[in-house]
Amino acid sequence: MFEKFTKPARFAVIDAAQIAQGSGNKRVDSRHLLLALVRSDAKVRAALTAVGAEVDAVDKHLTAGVENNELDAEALAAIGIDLFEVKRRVNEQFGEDAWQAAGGAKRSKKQPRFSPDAKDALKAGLLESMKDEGREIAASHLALGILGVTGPGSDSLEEAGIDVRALREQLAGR
Amino acid sequence: MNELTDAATSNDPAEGLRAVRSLRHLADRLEALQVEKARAEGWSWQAIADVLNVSRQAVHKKYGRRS
Repeated sequence: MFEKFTKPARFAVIDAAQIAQGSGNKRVDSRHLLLALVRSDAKVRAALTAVGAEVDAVDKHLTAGVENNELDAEALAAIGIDLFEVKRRVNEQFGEDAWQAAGGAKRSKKQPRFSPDAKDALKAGLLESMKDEGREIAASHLALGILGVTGPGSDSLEEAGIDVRALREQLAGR
Repeated sequence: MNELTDAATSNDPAEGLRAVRSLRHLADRLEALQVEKARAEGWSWQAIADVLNVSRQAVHKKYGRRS
C-alpha cells in the first residue's frame, strides 16, 4: 500500500504510528497522521503559517487531543476528577515527564492499526496525488487527504480556529 | 462549579462512558508508575500482587520484563 509514498510521506506514517503507540492509542487516526506531518513537513508548516496559525500552538493542540483519545479531561471533570491536577501530582511525585512516560510504558509491541478515518485520509491522499498526475504520494497529498475527510484530524484544526478550507487551498497551491 | 455538577448529573451515557474509559486508562497509568516504584524500593512481585489483589503471575507478566 505504501510503495507509492515518497520517503517523507512514508516516514510521516511511521511517525504517526509511533505517536499513537507512545500515547497508548490502539489505533492510528487522522490526528496522529496530521501531527506527524505538522512536526516533519516544511510545506505543511508553511501552509499553516500562511493561514495565520502558529505551528507550535497547533502541535500542542493536536498533542493534547491525542492524549485525550484515552483520557477525556471533560468526562473526568464531570465525575469530579481534575485530570490536570492528577498529572501535576504525578509529575511532582514521580518526576518530570513521569506522566507522559507511563502512558506509553506498558503498551504492546504490536503495530497499532489504522482507524477508519485514517484509512479514508490515506485514500483521499491517493486521489490528491492523482490530481497532480504524479506517480507518487507526497506528504502534501497526505495532508490534503487528511484535511479532506471528516475525523479527529480536521476536527482538531477547526477546534483550534483554523480555516481548514484556506489551509487546503494553500497546500494545493491553488 | 455549577457546570461541573450539571455535567455530572446530565445522565448522558456518552459522557459517562468516556469517563469510564478514561478512568481505566488512568488506573493503568497509575498502576504502572506505582509498580515501578515499589520494585525500585525492593518490593517482591508477591507483595505487589497482594496489595493489588491479583496473582503474582499476573503482575509479573504485565510488568516483569521491564524491571
